[in-house]
Amino acid sequence: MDKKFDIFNNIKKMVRLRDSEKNHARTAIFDFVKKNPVRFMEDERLQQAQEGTSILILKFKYMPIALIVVILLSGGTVFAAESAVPGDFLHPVKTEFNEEVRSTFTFGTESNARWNSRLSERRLEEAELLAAENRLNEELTVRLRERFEAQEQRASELIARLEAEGKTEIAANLAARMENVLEVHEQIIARLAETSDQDISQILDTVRARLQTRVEAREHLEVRANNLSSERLEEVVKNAKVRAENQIEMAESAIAETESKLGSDAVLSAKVNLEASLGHKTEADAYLEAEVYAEALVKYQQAIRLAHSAEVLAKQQLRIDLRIDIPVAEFLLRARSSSDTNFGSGGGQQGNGRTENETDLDSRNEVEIDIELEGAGVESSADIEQELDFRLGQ
Amino acid sequence: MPNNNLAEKEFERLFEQYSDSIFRHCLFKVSHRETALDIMQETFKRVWLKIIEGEKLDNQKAFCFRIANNLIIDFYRKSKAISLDSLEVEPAVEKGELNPSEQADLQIAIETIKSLGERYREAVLLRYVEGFSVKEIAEISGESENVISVRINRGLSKVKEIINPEV
Repeated sequence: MDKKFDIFNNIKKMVRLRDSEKNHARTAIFDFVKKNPVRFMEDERLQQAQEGTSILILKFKYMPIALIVVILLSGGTVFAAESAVPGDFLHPVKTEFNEEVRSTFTFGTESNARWNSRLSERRLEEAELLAAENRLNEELTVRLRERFEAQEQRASELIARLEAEGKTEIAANLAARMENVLEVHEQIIARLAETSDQDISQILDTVRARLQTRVEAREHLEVRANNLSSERLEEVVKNAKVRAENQIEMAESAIAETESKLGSDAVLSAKVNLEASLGHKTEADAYLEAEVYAEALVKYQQAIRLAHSAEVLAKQQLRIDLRIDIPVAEFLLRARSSSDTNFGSGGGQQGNGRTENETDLDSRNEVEIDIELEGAGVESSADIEQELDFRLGQ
Repeated sequence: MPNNNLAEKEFERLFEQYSDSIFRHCLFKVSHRETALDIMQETFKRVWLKIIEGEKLDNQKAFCFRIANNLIIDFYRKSKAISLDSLEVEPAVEKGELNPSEQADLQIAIETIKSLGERYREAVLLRYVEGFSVKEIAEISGESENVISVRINRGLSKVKEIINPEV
């Protein structure tokens, strides 16, 4: 009986490359590899620079140069990795090299906070993509969740430091942005948890917990940001106006891109957000005209958040192509309506709005986690199954 | 350079791990050592190009084999099909280095495999020499899993017949 497997064994052992052939092939192949280095694919720094203040832009200008130096020295390192997800060939390159390099060349508390918040967002994007493609397993879930938590935590700490340094406005803007990102991803992940067979509830719970923390932090910061002199307030409002305009522009271009690739259905929720954002912007402009700065600021901030939601939604839709209809606009409007009246005085209603989510969260915690062992290479025939016992090397 | 670079290192590991298998697969298909070597090299170059394009390699080994198979098909299209009788399967070591009993074993092994039809041969080799699952073989060869199961079973029966004609 075993004799036939001797045959296979002999073939495996003796029919192979000779050392000289292998060396020759290795040389030829790695010459080829050297001549074809990995290429450049994605650049988020431009976008970040647009969002930043003028001092920031100055700093970012030097970042590409530093990066290019590193790329040249390392023989063309590895930007294809930017789109990798855990489990992919290039994912270690993305997290352990690309992201590390950028961390090294990111100076200043603000850009560091921004970058760490972006890193945590990347982990969520990866989790969503994996879940949508049914490639998420328990190990990856744990890894992604831990990294997300660590990076989000780091961003939060840096925002707290900004606040301590007296950069209250910047801290408030960053915090709002992070909250926004979390909110959008919470919606996407919640929908994935319902529709996909994959167990993503662990990540969902974590995102919800962090979101809660962020909401509380934002309320705290907004109150402080509101205690400003009127001249300073006017300046702040005008900055907010510029940011709102930029953000709306970015959302529009993201929507246009997604729409051109996936059709108008895919950008419905993004468009609803954008329209709501434009509405707030118009109101804000009117308030600014009338020199009612506090109201204008609130409206601009709402416009920025909604436009940013629209942008994230459109981009993520393009990544996953889920065509899921996420009721984010309603959700956001409901959550925000409280800050219309409450800005500067604590935002107690906001807390109430969250309580609903908390209940939701608790019930979700009770759902038991099913671990499905993915059978790698499941045999389709019972005969073959039996033959397994006689496989080579056993 | 210390980081020069993870992708290359990973690719090198892939080459060390699978070059023999790919070569063997090509050799049994094209029956010509030099050609098999060329196709194996070309396979790894294509794999690298896929990697730098950002292709997702869920199953690296099966992915390499799929590329090799496509190259083999190209090769057959370009040149006249080579008779399988001329199958040139020489041992990895120089012949003198094998002792007579090893030489005999290898001869039997090769004769046995050669006597299988091409389809059975591919399925059986991929299954029992390279250790692929039925599903993976189906992906590599573009056939259904059922077809592959049947080929493996029939191929294996033939091997048994050849080894133990009396059974």
